[in-house]
Amino acid sequence: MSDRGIVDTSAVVQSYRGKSGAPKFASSSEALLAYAGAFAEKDLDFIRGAISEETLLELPMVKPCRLLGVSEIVSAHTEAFKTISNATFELHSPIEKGSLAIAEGALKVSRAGKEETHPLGIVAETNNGKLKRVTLYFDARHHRLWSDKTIL
Amino acid sequence: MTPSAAFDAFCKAWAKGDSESVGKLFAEDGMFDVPIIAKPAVGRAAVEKQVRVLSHSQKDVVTRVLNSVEKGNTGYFEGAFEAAVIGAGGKIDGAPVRTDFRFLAVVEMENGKILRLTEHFDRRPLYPEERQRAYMLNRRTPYWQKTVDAECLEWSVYNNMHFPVRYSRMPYEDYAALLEDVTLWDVGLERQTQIKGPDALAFFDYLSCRDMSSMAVGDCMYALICHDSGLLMADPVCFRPYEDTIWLSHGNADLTFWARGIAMGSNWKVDVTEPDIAPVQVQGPLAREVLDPITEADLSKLGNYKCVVTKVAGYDAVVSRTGWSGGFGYEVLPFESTVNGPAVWDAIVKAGEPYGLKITGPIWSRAVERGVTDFNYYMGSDINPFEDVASKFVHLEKPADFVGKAALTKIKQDGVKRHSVGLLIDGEVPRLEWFWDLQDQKGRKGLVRWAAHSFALDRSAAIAVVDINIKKGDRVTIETPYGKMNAEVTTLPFVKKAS
Repeated sequence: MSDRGIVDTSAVVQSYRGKSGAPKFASSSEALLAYAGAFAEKDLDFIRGAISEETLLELPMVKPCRLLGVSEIVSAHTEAFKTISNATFELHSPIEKGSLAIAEGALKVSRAGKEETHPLGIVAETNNGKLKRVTLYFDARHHRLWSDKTIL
Repeated sequence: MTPSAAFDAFCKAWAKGDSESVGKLFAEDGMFDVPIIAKPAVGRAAVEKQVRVLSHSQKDVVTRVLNSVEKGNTGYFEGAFEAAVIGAGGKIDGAPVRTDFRFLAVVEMENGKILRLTEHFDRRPLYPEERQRAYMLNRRTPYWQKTVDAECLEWSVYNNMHFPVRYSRMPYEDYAALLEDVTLWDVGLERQTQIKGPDALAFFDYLSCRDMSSMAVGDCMYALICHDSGLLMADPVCFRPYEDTIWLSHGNADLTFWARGIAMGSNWKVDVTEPDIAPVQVQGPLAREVLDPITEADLSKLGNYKCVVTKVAGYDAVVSRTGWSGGFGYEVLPFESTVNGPAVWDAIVKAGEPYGLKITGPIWSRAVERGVTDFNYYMGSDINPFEDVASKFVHLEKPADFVGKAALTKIKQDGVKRHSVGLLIDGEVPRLEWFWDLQDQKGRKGLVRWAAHSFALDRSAAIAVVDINIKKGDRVTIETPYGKMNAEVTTLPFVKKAS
């Protein structure tokens, strides 16, 4: 694993909260980290302000996992935040190229008294200071077993 | 070499199945990790082996990088993988399944070599099902939860017990583990019919059409069990762990009820029961390396088809040099399996970690290649032992009387009508869910009873019982759910033990 340290995503979210109006990200890396921080803090208002009708989110651990536009994204996050007791991203510093940023890290989830760690990659793209796309890459099999509530 | 150049070379070599070239891209202590392997491959040789096994089942591979970012020795690559995968979703029929998904690859370099290549993706395209639903109508083996934790996808039912048959891997990975490393199978559903008492051996000999009178303590013997009309009920491997005790480790048949019924009210001094014994199989060339350190007995001295009463991981058990792989391996039969079995299982898994042990079901593909079958009352309808692969074990002239002797004698006098053969099938076979009819150009008939994709032959292979006049080299037509398929008759086994 890279020796780059873990980024404090909460601090990135906080730095945008102090500004007036909806967040307008200075870089794709900050957009990526701010989304991760807002997700961990279940800050639906922040996420709503960071997206547009053109935003695409691909999140294997929520249902449906492909979300397009404000309505779908807000609705899915509302449901996800009800289900998840605690979920935090531990991300290394992203590498960015223009409007694209990619980072590696892990999603840590607490449920039923157990902590699970899922290694992942996360890609974020921005457009005019808003999130254009966020895609999580990780094996969500264990999450599906849990959230489908069908088998186990 | 930059991360971009290294990843490009990696993708090109993977697409060709060139694991050696992939290995050369990595540093000596390089690491390769993807979600579909149990743990990262560390070291050039391990990386090369892992890539060889994974890429074996993938054809027409195309990898496209959609986005990439790079800084110093680290590169991130968002891409799309497209391939035809043999065994996607664990299918065992040999049909390539279109499997496309997106991924994120991370490449870290050191001195021009790959120090780490990690891919992140969701396994759903490869394994769409989480697992089969199970109901409480059938018994569980003591290892049920272990198989769930090991990501079993699919169970069959066998002796009214759940039988784990398919896990979250491409079938070739399991096949390669059996031939190159070691595998652990939950076969606790192989119930033991225990015959105990002073007449145990004589009574057993009465039940079997093979001469069992020479079976000594510590022997294992393959038996053919027929009922009184000469139809095959089961073909168990049997153990004699003690002087007065014989276990018939039987297939899917109510053998204990049947044997107990014969013993009831008779003069045989035996008690017939089903003890709390649930076997596991440790199969593969490294089986001894795994089991020996946790077994009290010296397994290097345990010959083929021999068994010993010993301790495994401190628990009383019988260990035998037997199994259903058609190759090297052991069976472990813990005493009081419902209590001690899970701990024995865990000990085997732990002992197997350094050897790449994989928890798998029986490897159908290898069984077919080796001509290893399983006949039982419920699936073996209308088969008599002369028609079976193991017909040489019918001993009509043995000194003792046995169940079915009169019927089998008449069958032989009238002339055996069918025999078991191998089939080399043209094309990909569907999953064999029930037997397929076949006939040759003269209208002589037969029945395909086993079929699978053979990795050794790289084609479809089957085992059939056919008209006695259908011989090696003849052509037959099979009726499958995919339609008619042609095949050539051959002899069994398809491959020798060492291959």
